[in-house]
Amino acid sequence: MLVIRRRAGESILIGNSIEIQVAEIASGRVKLSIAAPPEVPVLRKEVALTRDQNLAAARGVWLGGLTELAARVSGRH
Amino acid sequence: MARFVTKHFGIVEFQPDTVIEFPSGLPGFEQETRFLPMEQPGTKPLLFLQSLDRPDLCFITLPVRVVDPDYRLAVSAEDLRLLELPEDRQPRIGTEVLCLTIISVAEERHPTANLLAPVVVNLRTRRAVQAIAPDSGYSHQHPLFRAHQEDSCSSFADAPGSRS
Repeated sequence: MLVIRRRAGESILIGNSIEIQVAEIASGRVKLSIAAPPEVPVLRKEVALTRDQNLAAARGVWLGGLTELAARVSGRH
Repeated sequence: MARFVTKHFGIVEFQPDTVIEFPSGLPGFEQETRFLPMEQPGTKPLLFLQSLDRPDLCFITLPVRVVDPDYRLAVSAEDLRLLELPEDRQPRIGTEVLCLTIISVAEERHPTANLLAPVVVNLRTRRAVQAIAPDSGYSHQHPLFRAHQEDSCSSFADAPGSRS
């Protein structure tokens, strides 16, 4: 993995068409400006994780085992 | 009463004012905005979120505090605005909001709960968001049962008393 130090106002380029600029650094957070072509999706990682998890959850509706699952969830209290 | 034909539950009848509305959908399901919460005999405390836009789409959820009794909400100001709730504090689970976690179950894998992104429903307006909380420290794949319980996962029939 490539690790680069940047100051506020500085940028990195990914390929010829993606630019990520450090817009602001304050109290443990950085604000990034991202310029990318419209066909390149830019997502916060946690949104992508939740999207993938939602897609998996929607695929796996598994009604057969749910009575047992519910009993097991209730039984632990 | 309204009616809707679902893939998993057949025809369901419901009062229109029980419908939960996600104004911006859920990640991966941005077009699906209307869901019906349903309990089924024998599967409490599971709560099914049945899409009223897609008959085949149904999420299995649990009240978040069934999974983690100490669960703490960390809803962003933006999501609180969407929910039409005060932005200066976290809403109270049970009185102001219903807070659900989406469960992933598949026969070959152990069930997990997405505690990173709980579904938060304003109980007064029934508007909802999947409130992703990146700074919360919660996992998007929180195991529903602890590791030592998973050894017996293939037989769900073990007595509750056998796992302390």
